[in-house]
Amino acid sequence: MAEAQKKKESPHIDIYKAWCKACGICVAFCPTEALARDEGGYPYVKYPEKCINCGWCEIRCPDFAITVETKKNGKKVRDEFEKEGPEKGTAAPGQ
Amino acid sequence: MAEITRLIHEYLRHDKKFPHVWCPGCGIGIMLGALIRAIDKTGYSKDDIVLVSGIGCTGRLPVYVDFNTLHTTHGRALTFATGIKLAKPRLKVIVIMGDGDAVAIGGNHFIHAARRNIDLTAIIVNNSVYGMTGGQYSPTTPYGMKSTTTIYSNVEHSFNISELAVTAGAVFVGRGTVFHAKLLESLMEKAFAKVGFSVVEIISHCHTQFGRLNRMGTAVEMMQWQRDHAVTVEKAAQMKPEELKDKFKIGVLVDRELPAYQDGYDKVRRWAKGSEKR
Repeated sequence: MAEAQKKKESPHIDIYKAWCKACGICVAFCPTEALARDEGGYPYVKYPEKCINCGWCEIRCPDFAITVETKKNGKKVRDEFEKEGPEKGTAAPGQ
Repeated sequence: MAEITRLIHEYLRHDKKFPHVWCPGCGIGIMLGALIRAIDKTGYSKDDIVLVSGIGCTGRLPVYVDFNTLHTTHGRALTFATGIKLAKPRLKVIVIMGDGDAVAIGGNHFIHAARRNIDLTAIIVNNSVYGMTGGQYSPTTPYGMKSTTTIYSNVEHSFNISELAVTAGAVFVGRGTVFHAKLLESLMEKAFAKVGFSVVEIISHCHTQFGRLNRMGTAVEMMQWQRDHAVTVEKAAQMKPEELKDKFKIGVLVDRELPAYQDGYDKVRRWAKGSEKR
């Protein structure tokens, strides 16, 4: 993600590890192979500059754990995510 | 957070345990995303939607979404939904079923709901197997495939859910796969807009049970199988029958107009009360 933020023009990909089950769908169907899997099978952004913001990883993610966004003003996107992230990520346990 | 995920989060019940209960890579999660996006596009408020489900992996779905939801007995989702629709016709009733719910245990309810043309939308996730209970064969397990109760080969022929719905009289029948998630979204949107019994069959995968026994690989490989074997209705019209042999059609299979049960019933009620002459 740090790499993604360096490049101003490339879209911002966020992977939400708390919800990700490492199924590999986003990596397998990424048309530009911008994503790759780490040793645990979890996806990470290998080539952020290759991302064309097609959004298929986000649409096909069964766990709603990956998001792609064009960075209009990077700072705002990050701030919003940090605000919402912890609250939604640690949903209360129980049925 | 990007727009699509933000939208999905608006409809999720965040007091439930996430990540959800389905296996890694399960198609139900993809279908849930498409369902939420389609419902959002229809413009109904959360209180106007009722999600009814039966038992099974798919039956678990309404737990996670913030609509009026009802988790019913096995195979009886359509009957509960019929009751809701007749009691409160203003509600949009969506029935989420697996293949077991729809055409095995609830098979009779399914064909008769279609025949009566009650204004419901049935969304059927077809993963070819009873996934939750241990991978037993279901009426949609293809001929010659393996399951935990047919370990050599399934010798029964399978149901084609969409064709069954067409024959039984559904006014809208669409088929999609979880690989074609955007098509799925548009099919659901069309089905919700239709007055009458609409069916969306979703070809999904159960890599945990069906895929492992039949050596079809992981969720990714099973989705590649869907990609390679699905043909759009438009493309299929130009293909020869022998080319279509091991393929299945996706898209809108039937879209027709028939008077809905609800309208006929209201009319009869008005006649009986004398408020309207025959």
